[in-house]
Amino acid sequence: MWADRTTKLLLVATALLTGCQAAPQLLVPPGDGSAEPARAVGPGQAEADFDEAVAMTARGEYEAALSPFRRALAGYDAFGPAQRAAECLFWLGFCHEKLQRRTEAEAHYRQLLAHYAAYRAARLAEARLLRMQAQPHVPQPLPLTPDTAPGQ
Amino acid sequence: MVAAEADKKAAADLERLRKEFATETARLRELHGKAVAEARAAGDDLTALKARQSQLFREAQMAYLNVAAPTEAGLQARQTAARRSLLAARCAQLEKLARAEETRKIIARLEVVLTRLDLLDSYDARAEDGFASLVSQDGLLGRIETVLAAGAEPESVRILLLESRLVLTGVNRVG
Repeated sequence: MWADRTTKLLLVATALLTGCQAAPQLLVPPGDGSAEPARAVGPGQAEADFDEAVAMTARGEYEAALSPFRRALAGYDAFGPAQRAAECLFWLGFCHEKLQRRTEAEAHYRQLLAHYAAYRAARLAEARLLRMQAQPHVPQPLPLTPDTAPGQ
Repeated sequence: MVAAEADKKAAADLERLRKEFATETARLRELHGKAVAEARAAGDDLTALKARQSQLFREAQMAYLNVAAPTEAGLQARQTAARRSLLAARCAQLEKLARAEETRKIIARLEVVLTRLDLLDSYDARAEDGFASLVSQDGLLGRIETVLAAGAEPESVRILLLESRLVLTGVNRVG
């Protein structure tokens, strides 16, 4: 149950060292329902957007949280820190996962692993990807219409 | 003569009623005094019980954090304890087992809060402040306490809620 302490310390040290670097230029990933990439805002606004989006996620407002997470990602992507950009990608994946949009969730988690592998968020994304892959994909039922309702 | 007799009887009845009333009043006053004393004692007992419960909780919290994160303190200790106990991952697994809708909502919220704690840079005071605000939103800890007091959920769910409460209680704003 307890993870190896040395590995954890190394991971933390790596994340801290790389946390001071600017984030790689990364557009808001496609496939998340946005018509166009979010425009980068200032660092202060990115923080505010991030906090608002996390609070929305905690309230179960996953759809509404996507937009402020995208704006925050654009801000962190432009101004850093990279750690926060990584977290935005994680939470975008998390919200899509909760909304049963498996493809979008996987895309965000994979993008996080590709661009920010050294961060803690990447470890969590990896675990969630493995768990998603272990679960069979259950397609969502079609909404009942007069044509598809039983007995019609 | 008859009227005088009637007056005398009425006066006697009145006197008897007055005495009975006085006796009853004294009895009620005594009962009220006893009730007030008992209520005060019960109130003192309840206050003492709450203080004891609070002390026991603090001791349990200290023991839990000391075992899970013996070399750390503050938010870092809470973060390490939550990571080692896999609290966020357990939320995702146990949400389905909760019997009440309110419990499912609490666990869904806990998954987000505990994941935020896991990702938190514990050296960033602003992030710490934001996290404290997240924990205090919607009376999360009070709602957990209510579910635990009802004792209606499966043991695995109750243990998860208790551990989460141990980790999250006392998270304060920095400013």
